[in-house]
This record gives sequence, C-alpha cells and structure tokens, in this order.
Amino acid sequence: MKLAVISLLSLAAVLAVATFIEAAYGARTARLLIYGNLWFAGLLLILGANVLCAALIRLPWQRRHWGFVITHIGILVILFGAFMTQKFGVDGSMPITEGDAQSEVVLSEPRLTVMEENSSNRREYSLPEPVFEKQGKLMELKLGDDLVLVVDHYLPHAVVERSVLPSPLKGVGMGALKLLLSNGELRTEEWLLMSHPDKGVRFNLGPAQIIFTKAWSKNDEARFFSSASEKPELEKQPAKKSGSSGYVSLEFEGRQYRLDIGKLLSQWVQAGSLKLKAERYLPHASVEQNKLVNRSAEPLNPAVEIKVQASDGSEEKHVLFAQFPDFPTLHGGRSGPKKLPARLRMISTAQPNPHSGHEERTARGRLLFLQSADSEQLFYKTISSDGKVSAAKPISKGKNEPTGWMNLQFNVLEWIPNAISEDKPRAASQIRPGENMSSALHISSMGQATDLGSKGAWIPEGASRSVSANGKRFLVFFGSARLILPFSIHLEKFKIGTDPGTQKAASYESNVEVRDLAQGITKKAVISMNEPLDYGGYTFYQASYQTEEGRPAVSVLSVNLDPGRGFKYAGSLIMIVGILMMFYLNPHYLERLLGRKKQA
Amino acid sequence: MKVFAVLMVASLMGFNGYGQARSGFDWSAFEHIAIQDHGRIKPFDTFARESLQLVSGSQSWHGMPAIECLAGWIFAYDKEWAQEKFIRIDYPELKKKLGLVDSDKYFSPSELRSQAPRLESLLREIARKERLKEGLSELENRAIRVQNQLGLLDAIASGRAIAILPNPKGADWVAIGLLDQHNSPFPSEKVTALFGHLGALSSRFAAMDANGWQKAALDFSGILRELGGPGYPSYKNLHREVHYNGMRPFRWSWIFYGIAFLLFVLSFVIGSSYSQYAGMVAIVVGFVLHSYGFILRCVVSGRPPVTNMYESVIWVAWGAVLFAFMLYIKYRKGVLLAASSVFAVVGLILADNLPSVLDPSLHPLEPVLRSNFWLAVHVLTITSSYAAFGLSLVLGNVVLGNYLFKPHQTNSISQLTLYMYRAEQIGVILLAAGTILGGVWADYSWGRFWGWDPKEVWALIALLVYLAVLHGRFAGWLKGFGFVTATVLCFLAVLMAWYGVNFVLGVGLHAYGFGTGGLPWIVGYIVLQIGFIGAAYLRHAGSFKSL
Repeated sequence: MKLAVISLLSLAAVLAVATFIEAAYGARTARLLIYGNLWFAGLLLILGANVLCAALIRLPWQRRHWGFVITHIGILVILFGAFMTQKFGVDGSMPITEGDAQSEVVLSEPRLTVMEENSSNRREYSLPEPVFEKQGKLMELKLGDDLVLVVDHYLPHAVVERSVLPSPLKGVGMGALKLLLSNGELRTEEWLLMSHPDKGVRFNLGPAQIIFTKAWSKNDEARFFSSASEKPELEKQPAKKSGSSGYVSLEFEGRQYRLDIGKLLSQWVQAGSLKLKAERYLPHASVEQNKLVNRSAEPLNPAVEIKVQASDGSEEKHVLFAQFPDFPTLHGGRSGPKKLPARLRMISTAQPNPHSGHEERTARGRLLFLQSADSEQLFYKTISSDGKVSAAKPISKGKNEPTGWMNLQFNVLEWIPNAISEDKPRAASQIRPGENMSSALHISSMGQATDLGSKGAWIPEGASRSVSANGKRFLVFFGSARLILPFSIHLEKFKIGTDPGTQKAASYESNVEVRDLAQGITKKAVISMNEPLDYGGYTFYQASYQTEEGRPAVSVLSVNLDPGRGFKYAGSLIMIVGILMMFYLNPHYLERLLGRKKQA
Repeated sequence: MKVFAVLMVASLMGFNGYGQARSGFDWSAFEHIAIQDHGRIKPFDTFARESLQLVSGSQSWHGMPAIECLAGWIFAYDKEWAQEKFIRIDYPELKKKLGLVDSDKYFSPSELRSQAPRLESLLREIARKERLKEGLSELENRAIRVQNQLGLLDAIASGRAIAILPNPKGADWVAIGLLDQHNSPFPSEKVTALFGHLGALSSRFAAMDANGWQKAALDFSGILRELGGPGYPSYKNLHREVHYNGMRPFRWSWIFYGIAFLLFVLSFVIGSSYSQYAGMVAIVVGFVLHSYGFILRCVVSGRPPVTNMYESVIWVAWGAVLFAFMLYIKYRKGVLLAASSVFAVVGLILADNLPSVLDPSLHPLEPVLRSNFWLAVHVLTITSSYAAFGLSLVLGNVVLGNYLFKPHQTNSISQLTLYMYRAEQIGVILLAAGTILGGVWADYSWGRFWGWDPKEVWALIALLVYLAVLHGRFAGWLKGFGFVTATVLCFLAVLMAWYGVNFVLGVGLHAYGFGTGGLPWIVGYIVLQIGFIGAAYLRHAGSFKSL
C-alpha cells in the first residue's frame, strides 16, 4: 500500500516534469527525455505490478473486495493495452497531394537515406537522436570504399535562414543587394535577392516600393536611363508573355546558356557542342502510375522534357521541374556510353492566373535599381508617387542617398552581381511552444574529397543534399522513417469550408479512393474531421492540411494501427464499474472505513 | 462608386476630434442590427461591446455605452474620436518602443498613427519570426495587439468591418464600406434607399437629433431586413443575445451567492435559523439566475459550453453549487451551501471582471470541436470533477479553519472532514471517467487513445495525486489533519490541469483554450493557501494555544 502511494506520487512527479520540458523544449524533447524511455516504461510496469499485488494479497477475495479488485483489474487491462500499442502499434502521418496517390506512412523516427544516382543502390541509416544540440562525430555513412560521410553536428530545433554569398562559379548566380533604409524613426536592413532574374524583385516598405531588376541588353539599360516613361518596366511586363513559358538554363563546358522553351519546342537549338530540343512542356506536371502527365494549363508545377544530343550523336532525355531544381534530371533514354557532364535547370516565367481580387491602386513612391547587362554596374533612380522621375545615377556603395519621400534615405551596403543564396540552419533562439520545429544536421566528408569541400553542408529535416565524388553522385536525404502500406490512397479532392466572412477553416475533408491492387478492391470514401476511414486494420484520420498559393492542396492524414485499443476500452469500462461498486454500492464498506478512521 | 466613403467624408464639418455623449438617443433599433463578424452573425450590440473591449478594455467609455461608441466610430470617427485618448496600451516596454508617454494608459488614434513607422518596423520583425516559426516575445505579442486595435478601428471607420448586408450569392456578407452602388448583388433602387437611410443616420448623428436618429435607425434596419430576405436572423434571436449582453446574469448570480454566503455566516455566528433560511433563498435565486444565464448562452451560441476558459469557470462554479445541493439533501448542513457559494462567488467574479484573461465573447469552434458528442461529454465530465474538487477544497479550508480557531471541536471537524471526503470521491470518479472519456474522444478524433499531451498528462497527474491521498488515507498514513491538508494541496494539481496547461505551459493539442494572463492571481492564491495551511499546522501541532 505504501509502495502504491510512492509509485503514484513518483509517476505524478515525473509526468509534471515532463510537461514543463515539453513547454520549454517541445514535444520531441519530452518524448526523448521521458515518455519514450525505457525507464519510464519501467515505472509504469512497477505501478502495474503494484496494482496486481494489491489485488493478489487480498486472496481469497471476499464480497467487500469486489469493487476494489475489479477496479484494479481494469487498470491492469488498460496498462496491457498501452503496452500492446507501444509494441505493435503504428502511429504516423501521410501527406497526399491532391490528385496523387500515396502508400507511404511517415513515422516519427528520423532516418538518413543515401541513394546513388543511376543505380538502385539505396541505404537507410537510423539516426541516434540526441536530445540537445550535439557536435562531434555522431555517425558515419560509408558510401564507398574510401568515401565516408560524417554527421558531425545536430540541431534539434533549427531555424533555416537564408544567407547570401558570392557565387563560387563565374557567371552563375543572381544579383543581390543589401540595403539599409533609414530616417529618424526607422532603420531596416534588407537583402534584395533577384531569385527570379527575369522578373526582378520588389519589396514594399510603407508607402514606398523598392524594385531591383537586371538589364539583359543595352536596350534595357537605355530604357532605364530615359526618364520619359514613368511606369517601371516591371509593371509593363504582362503576366503572360505570348509563347514564352520560361527558359532552360544549361551549364556545359564552363559556359552557361539560356534557351527559350518556346523555341526549343519548335526546333533543335544549338548550344556549344550540344543540340537541344523540347519534347513536351507540362505546365501542371504530375506523376501518375509512373508516367509524367499534365493535369491542367495552369502553371502550377511546370516541367519540360528535353532531349539533348551530343556531338557524337548520343542522346539523353531529361525532365526538368522548375520548382525542384535539385531533382536528378536524367530520366532514362540514354543512348550514349557515358553521361554528359551537363547541368540543366528550368526557369519558369509563366504565372498563374491572377485571381479576381481588387488590386492595390494607391500611388507609391518607387526606388528602382538596375544591374547592367554585363553585371559590372548598378544604377538607381526614383519615381515619386505623382510620377516624377529622377535621372538615373550609378550607385556609390556605403553612401546615404535620399529617396525623396518620407525623409527616407537608402544606403547600398553590399552588392553582389552574382550571388547564390544558401539555406543555413542555426539553433533557434526561442522555441515556440507547441510548434514542432524541425531539426537539421551537418555532414562533411572524410577521406576522399567530395564537392562538399572542407566546410561540409547542412541538411535541414525533410531536405536532401547531393554529394559527388569520383564521378559518382549520391543523394543524402534526411527525413523520417517510412512504412509502405500494401495499398495506396488516392486523394481525389480536398475541400476546405471556412467560417462565413472569414478565412478561418471551419471544416476540411478529403475525398479519397483506396486502391488495393493485391485484393483487387477499390473503394471511395470521405475522410473528414472526426470521420475517419478504416481500411486494412489501419485507421485514417483527417489531421491537417497545407495549402500554398498556386499549388495543389496537400491533405495530411494521420495513420494509426492500434492493437491495444480493445484492451484500453475494456479496461476503462471495468475500472469505472469497479470504482462505482467500491464507493457507492457497498455502504457498509465505507462506514467501516470511516469507523476505523474515527478510532485512529 | 463606394458611397459609404463619400457619405462619411461629408460628415466631417467642424470637427474637434473628441468624443461627445449623446443624451436622449435611443440605441435599441441600432443595436439589433445583425452583423457578420469573426464567422458569426451577431447583433451590433455584441459587436460594439467586443470591439470596445479590445480597443479600450471595457464595455463602456466615460459613461457612453459601447453601441454609442460604435456609432461614433462609424459616423464621426475623424470628427469625434481621432483625438480622443481611448486606445488602451498597458505594456511599458512597448510604450517606450513606440515613443509614447509611459505614464499614460490611453492613447489617441492620431497619436499612434504618428508613430506608425516604429510599429511597422516591429511588425516586420514579427513577420520574419513568423516565417521562421520562431517564438515571439511578450513585447511582440503586445505590438500585435496594438496593430489589431488600430486595424479594427480603421476597418470600422472605413466600413470594411461593417458586414451587415446578407449576400444573396454566398455565405459572406457584404460590408457596407465595400458596397458599390453600381455593382452590387442587390437591386439598385434598394441600394439607393439604403444609402439614403445611412446618410440620414449620419446627418442626424452629427446634428445630435435624437428623434431623427431613431427614425433613421428604424428605416435603416428595416431595409437591411428586407434585403436579407428569409435568411436574415429573426428579431427574437438577435434580441435574446442583446438581452443576454445587457442582463449580465452571471453578475447577478454572484451577487446573490455573496448575499447567501453572508447570511450563512451570520446564521453560524448568531445561530439564527431565519438567517439560514434567507441564505437558502438567496443561494437558490443565485443558482436559478446562474442556470438561466447558462442556458441563454447555450441557446445564443447554439452549442454546449465546452470551448473556453470563461465557459469552464462558469460551469465549474455552477457544478460546485449543484454538488453542494446534492450533499445538502443528504446531510442537511448549511455549511455545504456556504462553502459552495464562496467558490461560486470567487469563480464568477473572476469571470465577470477579467475579460482579457477569461474571454466572454462567443467564437466559432475549431474544426475538431464541432458537432462532437464525445467532446461535450468528455469536457463536461472533467470540468464537473473540478467542481467537486473545488467544493472539497473550500470544505477542506473550513476544516483547516476549525483546526486553527476551534481545534477542540473534534466532532465537528470529523463531520466536516467527511463532507470534504464525499466531495473528493465525486471528483475522483468524475475525473477518472472524464480522463477516460477524453481518451475515447481522442481515439475517435485524433486516432490515438493517449498521446502524452500536457492536458491529458495533467489530468492524469491530478487523478494520481488524489488517488495517492485516498490510498494514503486507506493505508492509515494520512488521517485527520494530514488528510485534509493533502486534499487541499491536491487542488493545486487541478489548478495546473485546468489553468496552468493553457495559460502557463501553453503547449499541446488542447490549444483552443490557450490564453495569457492571470498568473499573479493564481500565485497569490497559492501563497495564501500555503500560509493558511502553515498557520493551521502550527496550531494543530501545538505551537500556540490560542489566538
């Protein structure tokens, strides 16, 4: 009995500590430190043993013991159910993009997966998950005889920040501008990064707009210098340039080429010693049954299929996705003996149809920057809100210049004509309660030199990183362990209902089709909040969703297999019956207890 | 063309920028106009109260009812309110950051507008952190609040927030400030008439013409009802909510509970049975009002009261009184009712007076909470257990008081201890059942029975500590004073599960009840409670003989 009190209280104390840990460091830390640990299971086990003993020492049970015994049996059954769930249950999630099918369940254990390009070589490593930030050799990934990658830094709560660096390769990269804006009240520093060289970058600050573009020709520069047109070039550019869906950028033999997709679709285009032709342009590409198909004319996931012919006549087929430049692009169809050392990327300029919202029509003051066509010079001019244009002038770095509105001054602190941006995780300074922040790890190479260089590379959770060495290319993916179900779920439609008059989601549901090829069953179902789908022993719940402008919605289902469920329900029921019997159906028992207390 | 803007600019003649009270105005027609706001259709009265609450932190401003302030913001914002210092900012650090006078409590819109760049640079930093999903500092949360205050005022003054025209083509109502005379879903002659009445309202408001205003308000609400057709909320429903807002049943019920408590105390002191009967009447009246307010709230919101801290406090106070009545029927002791009235008074006063902590406004439910039978059962069971524990807490303190002041009356002490134990038993059963029902609901809704979520865990901790006490008592470890003290202390676990998880920890899946504030009150209570126990212990242990 005393042991019972002690184990109850110690469990309560441990749990209390766990919740504070969760509040301070997030659910993952609490799971790693407390709930997921063996000793915690041990504590529960002690409690269980205790309960069992409490019931057994009262053998032979008398009538007045029934309530007591039933209650404790209930608790044991619940604990057994919990054990079954822990041991044999599955608890994961399944994100499905609208229009796609999915049979993978994402589990919570972290995993590193290494794939070798152009081979079926694929290895998975489960990751020791440190609770706190850890440096030093955490694990080794052996990619080849002499090629070893080392995980040497782990951040449990990472914030991915973009840093801007000069490009290591000449002629590769984009314009970047670090701007300080200040007046008496205000001081802001911003990087303007021309991630879309064709469209430039714009940045709104109160009543002002700052626009940074690049000239592609002397013509563009001349236009910038003529003060006649007060509308910036940027706004004149129509959303849809006729015929142009974007460009293919090709790096080959140290040179960079920019080839119009429209042109590529109609003819073979020469680029250095290579000839290229576009087979298909898919504005809304989707992979269905291992085939690349187009689903609409909206440029939601633009892709292009390119045939590349080398001078020796060998041909390669590449598929480029504008939104996923890091995907391996080679997709079979290689007729030559060895892979061409070319790098292809697609840049889409097509824009989704602007939706019919009202446009902002307030007049803004504008500050325009132009990077010259040869990327040697940077110019600026200002346009006041009533359309007055100042003369274009070259920039002098580090000098405060007036903008002409709001007493605002600007100062170009840095200008990198060819910059690259690098996503670099750092430890979060403040952990947002309730937010499951993603982790990140750092890899570097040991032994043989790789293109990681001496600095190595960060991989945020859910991202991959390519590593090349000795002519081989590997993809290192840091994500969660997966479970492949014997059937797939196809998301036909995802619907969000909002509270009237607001953007707040009031309900969401997924219209799905279960496709079980092994059993030859297809079955349609609707999964919504509180209305799960049961199939094949698994239960699918509507958990959450992700939407992003211009992309198909992603519905996140939580997937669950719980062999302990029946025990938990039964145990709960038994326990409640027991408590009721103990307290209310046996008044004599109570009187006796009270009587004993009075004597004490 | 947006007529609203033109009309409102026309009312700008001769402004002085300060609020003016309008005596003799009848607001009843105006406050019954239906508006769509935050996903709910509510009367103007509610909208006005909630808006003024957010902006100024109270439901009236210098004697002006909220509805009058709202009318002023719509019809005479620049003229009467732009210079009025009525926007409440409490956080000193934020005032410093925004360049405001630290000793002031209220600030005017124009004053804040002149500091817009400073606020903007704060908001830019917030947006950056949001993007990175980093936590926000208290200063930043306060800055968001100021932004909300200014944004709301701006949206009201420009008519963008005044969504009072039911849209025949969809669920989103049309805001009066966005209604375009030549391109609206309504017949153009109706729109013309609407703007005519609006113009009349505006000019009568400016002219301080109470009679003209009353007529214009009736015409205006009439045409809105006409435009809305059969889907427009009935006057009866709107009036029920206005009645609920105006009556404040929970304020009346705590007053009656308070009277009941005083009468019971009087009866214990002078031993008068009249006083006890009067106390009985008062507590019954309080309980009826309490129940009435509760039912009214459920009817107005159309759902069980299970969604936020405010409702749970009201429910728990109600439950404590209910359990006291049940125990009274068995034991016929006035002390039970007196104890429950103390608990109810404290709970209801807090609910009535701390709107920033316990938000009384009605909001649409989170998706996961909608139309769910198990949820209602689970939450009501759990919170009922809090009610029983609350009653046992007060009774426990009464016993401690006896230990402190009348330690020799062992008979009454053991009687009171029995009552406390009874309330505790009710609590344990309800908490065990509620926690399990929570598991059932979680299984049904999230796909797992138990997930070590902080709210679940704290409910379990509360259950475990009460079980430990009951086991300790059964084993003979805890008796008399120790048992009472342990029971009283166990309530701290309930406080943590009830308040602490949502307001202190602020993590987990039960996020729909999260809030901030109120911590000093809780800490103050804990200090007092422990001090009281300490004093009683010293007396019990014989450190001093008399007081």
